[in-house]
Amino acid sequence: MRERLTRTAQGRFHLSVVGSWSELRDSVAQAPPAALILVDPYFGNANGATPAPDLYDILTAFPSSTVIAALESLPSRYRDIWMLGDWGVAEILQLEEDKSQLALTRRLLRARAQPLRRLLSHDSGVPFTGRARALMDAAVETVMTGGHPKDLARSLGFSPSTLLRWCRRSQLPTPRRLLLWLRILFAAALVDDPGHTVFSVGLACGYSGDQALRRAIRSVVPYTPSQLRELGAFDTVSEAFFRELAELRDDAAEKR
Amino acid sequence: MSATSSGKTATPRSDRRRWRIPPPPLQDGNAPGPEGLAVLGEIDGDLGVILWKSLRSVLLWADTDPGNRRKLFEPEASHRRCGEISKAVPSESPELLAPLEDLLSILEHPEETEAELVGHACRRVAVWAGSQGAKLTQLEFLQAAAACRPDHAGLALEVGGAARDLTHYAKAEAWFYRAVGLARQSGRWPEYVTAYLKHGIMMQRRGALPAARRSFLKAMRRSRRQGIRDGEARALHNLFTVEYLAGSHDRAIEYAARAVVAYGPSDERLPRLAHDIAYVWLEQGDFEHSLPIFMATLARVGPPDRPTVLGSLSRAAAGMNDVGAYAWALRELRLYAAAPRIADAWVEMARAALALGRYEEAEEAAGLAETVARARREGQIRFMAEEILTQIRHEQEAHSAIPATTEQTVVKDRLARDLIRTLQVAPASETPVWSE
Repeated sequence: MRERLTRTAQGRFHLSVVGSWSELRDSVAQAPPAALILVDPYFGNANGATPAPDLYDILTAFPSSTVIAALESLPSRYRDIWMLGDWGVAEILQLEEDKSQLALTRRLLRARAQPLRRLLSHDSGVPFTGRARALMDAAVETVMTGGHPKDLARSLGFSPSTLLRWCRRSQLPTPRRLLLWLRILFAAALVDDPGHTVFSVGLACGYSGDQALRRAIRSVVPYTPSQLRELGAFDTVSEAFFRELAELRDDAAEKR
Repeated sequence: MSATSSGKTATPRSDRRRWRIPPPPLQDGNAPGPEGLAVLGEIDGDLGVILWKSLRSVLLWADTDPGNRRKLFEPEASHRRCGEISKAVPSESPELLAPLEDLLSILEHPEETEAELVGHACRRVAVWAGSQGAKLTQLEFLQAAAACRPDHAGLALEVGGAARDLTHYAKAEAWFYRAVGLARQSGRWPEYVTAYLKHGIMMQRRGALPAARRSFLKAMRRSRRQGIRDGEARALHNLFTVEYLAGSHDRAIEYAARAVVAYGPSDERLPRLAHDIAYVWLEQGDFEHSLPIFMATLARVGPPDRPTVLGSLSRAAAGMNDVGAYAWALRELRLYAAAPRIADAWVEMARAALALGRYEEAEEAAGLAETVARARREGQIRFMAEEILTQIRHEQEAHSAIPATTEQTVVKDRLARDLIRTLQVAPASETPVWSE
């Protein structure tokens, strides 16, 4: 497994290995917030019958972290698999099945956008149309890979001008602003995590540091990162985001 | 410059246009987490895990470029899965066993397996899941089938329908539009028309009448151009409904008349159109004509449509003060707890009970309608149910108000007599009085 991970990570991720749950907890607190955390959920549990409570603690303390549980998906483990999903695990790596390089890569990449997806899954009160939902999903993927509007257009198979037209018809902000909002939403989720500094959040979200992050946040909400943390960063920013969507919405138009 | 003069071959318009269809929305924004986890939420035990693993293998296989599939799974994966299937799936369930065994071929020969076979097997698993009431599993496997066959408009349409039934409206809309795009690309016009019709019906139920009208018009025009008689009739029927709901009664009747002709006497959808026309009469207070039509319609519809007709029939019966027919309809409706349009039917039943002054039954019916509509996120129906509940409360308050005393009655009688006498003194005025 370690060898395959090393091959997958080559040139894309920095790979570090820890030996205990407490060490992992410290590493999550210090690691770049966009890190992928691959765990054996039964590690250290004396009987190995149920996933370790330490994992639950880490997922509770760092809800925006991306945790992938690697386990043998035996039929008898159906309750454990369900419970891990309920705890907030982003993806399951089936040790006996996902042995190829392609399978491993796909599981890791799929997990990457899960935290933002989970955070955006709350009922916003703004009904997304089908097209808007497809655009949002693609935009989430783009933000997680540090992409720009042209990358978003490419992922959907559009030209940038078609993407702009689709955004307008779907009553969404322009692609550039949509990506800005999602990036700030991701940053806000990280700001809410205990243990992350504003500087590390800025770096994780593709900014040069805390000043750049402050400027970006200021362009969408009138708060500093510290003020956001006090107010509940993700709730405040998502409220502002959905308010902007509601302003863009024209119920009478229905031009879809 | 014409194609001939420029020396180029003329290309059909459809070939020149760039149709862009975004990737299928496989991930559920409302349920993030491990891929396919919804399956385990519905089907527990060994069977749940087998289905979950099969689904994930298919999605991994479909997502991988065909040229890279050779080393996707280890050689022993197929044997292991085969053993797990034989332990978990009873042999007396061939409708599930056969497709799961077919899916083993992607583990055995990932590079040679035909996408059509995998898509078909996934669809059969979806049908089995649907028959077990596991609707999320059904949706997951239909999506997997559509992922295997990304150019198949019919499968996209089925996914849209399954998502709509689960009230995942945004997802349903995305899949309906995908079906439209794929059908247009491949020139499969019946699917194109059906996708627009299904989308229109969904939008109509959500109260988005302009969007519904647009879809129905597109379906009607395309049906006429391609000579799809059935599609045209269905589109006209739906246009009749949407125009009626929008308040354009004349246009609605015009569409209804065209729909009757387009359907013809033997079409199985004619009873439904008859119901809808009778419903318009019902709304206009013509109970005498509508009640016998509802009775006749009931004899020609199947169980899924019976609640709708029973609801309308109860109102017509109440309008005619036919308590026997009303009570019979109420008894019948109680037999259809999980029917697709049961909330609408309970709204109608509540109105009927209210018209007959049976407040307890009205309250019960409106409460049931509100509960179902809330669970299914049917805003329009929920609003109507709440409105009826308010109306019941007002009427009950009016009935339970303190009766006037003898003294008050005497005062009122005197005032009324004086007023009439005074009014009779002078002739009618020429100038309008309400405008002041």
